[in-house]
Amino acid sequence: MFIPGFLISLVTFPGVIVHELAHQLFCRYFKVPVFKVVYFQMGNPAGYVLHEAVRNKAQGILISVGPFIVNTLIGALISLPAALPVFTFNNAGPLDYLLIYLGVSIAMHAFPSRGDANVIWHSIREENTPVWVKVIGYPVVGLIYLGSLGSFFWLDLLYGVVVAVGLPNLIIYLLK
Amino acid sequence: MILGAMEEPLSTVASVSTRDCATCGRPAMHGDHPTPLCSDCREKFTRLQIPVWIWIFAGGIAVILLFSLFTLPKSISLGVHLEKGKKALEEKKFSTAEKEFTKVLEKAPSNVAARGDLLISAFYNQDYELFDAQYKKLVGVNIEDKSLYSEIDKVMTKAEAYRSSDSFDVFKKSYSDEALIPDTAWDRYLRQHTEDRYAEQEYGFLLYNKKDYRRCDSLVEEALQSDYEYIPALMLGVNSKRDEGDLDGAMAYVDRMLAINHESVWALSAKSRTFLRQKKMKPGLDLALKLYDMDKQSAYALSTLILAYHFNGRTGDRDALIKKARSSPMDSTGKIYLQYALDVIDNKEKF
Repeated sequence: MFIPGFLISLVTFPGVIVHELAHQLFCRYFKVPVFKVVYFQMGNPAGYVLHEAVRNKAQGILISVGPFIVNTLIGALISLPAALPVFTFNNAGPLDYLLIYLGVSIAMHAFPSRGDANVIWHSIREENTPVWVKVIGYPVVGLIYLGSLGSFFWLDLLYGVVVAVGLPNLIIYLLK
Repeated sequence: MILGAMEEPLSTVASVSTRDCATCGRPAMHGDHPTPLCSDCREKFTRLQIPVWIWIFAGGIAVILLFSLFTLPKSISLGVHLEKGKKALEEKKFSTAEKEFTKVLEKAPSNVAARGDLLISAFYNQDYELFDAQYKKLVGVNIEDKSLYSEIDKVMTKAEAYRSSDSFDVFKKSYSDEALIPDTAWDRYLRQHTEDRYAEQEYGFLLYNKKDYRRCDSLVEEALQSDYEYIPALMLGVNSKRDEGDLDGAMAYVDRMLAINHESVWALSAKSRTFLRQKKMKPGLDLALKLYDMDKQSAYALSTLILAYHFNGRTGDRDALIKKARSSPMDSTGKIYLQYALDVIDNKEKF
């Protein structure tokens, strides 16, 4: 089923905001100047961060994949306590559904965009890039592109659901 | 660089060839920076500049996150109880399963799977009061899990043989007292109702009370041929074999009960008592201690431990437990179990 991207972004806007905020926080952590942040807009891209080019390639990769870490963690933590009442115990209240909506929205925007992948791609193709950064960087770019392609088949939503529902069940499986 | 959540073009901030700050025109900082910026501008752009509405949004997310973290342990703990219950059910540890599903339903009473599994556990634990309560709550409820539905259906079919049938009620009502029903009438009824296991075990119980163990055993076997897991017949078989002195035979029935429910308190108690009769005092006591620890509410387990203490010469522990039992509330069946143990201790009853 095809749903326009801007509609998905509109419905899941908390995830877009957290995604951009994650880029910004990583920039702040590495003291990279940020010139402009658009947290959410009705367009393509739904949000972006304009920052200074990063000399340190590893830091550049981390700034690009920052949302993957932050969105996944926050999405998982928010939806963890609600996943069982909603999907297992059938005793969920409105708050549980709100938590699941927020958790899935945030987690499904964890994937870095193709723009993020392009930044890494151009950065690691430069001559002075250390080999170990290339070893990490190329697969990361490949995975981001795969994720981007997969989003046509709702891979981002699937990831959001797996994070929100799969993790609690994994924790319980490990604790039982 | 632009980093976005969606597909976007790649662009870079225009590099300035002069040594002037790209934003305010003042002299730029020295150093290998891609964008020439004065120290004030660099500091300004490096600072975390977040609009108020994003702070409010982040604050909201933080509050929700804190709430989630606060409620997480409760939710996880409930999930663990459910999984432990399922695991216990698979391993035929129905006592553990019953406890775990009861905990789940205290917090999530609308959980159909836990209720169905509790019904199954209660049946195998012979907790028929709990079984009936779960059945009433499941009437009219749609059970989507086909495997659970089939298991509940199997248990419900078995449970029919655990109650007196209409025809057996009519048969009994034609006599003023069950003890006065002649053997010929019993034989005729059982010939006409060959599948009535309830009647078979009830007649078997009457024969057991008359110490007619041979005929009692024969009825036990007939009932078990219809349903090899028919628990009342197995229980009667244990008692009958034990009282006629066939302790190995009694143990065989006990093992059949334990194969159905590895945590059957009644079967474990019977095993402990059989050990005591076989003069295996230590294993008898060890088992009695284990099962009392497993179910402190069971009067049968408690009276078994009293007997085990008694036959192991631990009179202090025995008397302390008797005192405790007397001060605890107990139903009529529990009182019979306790009285039997007291009578054995006072040599009024042969063990």
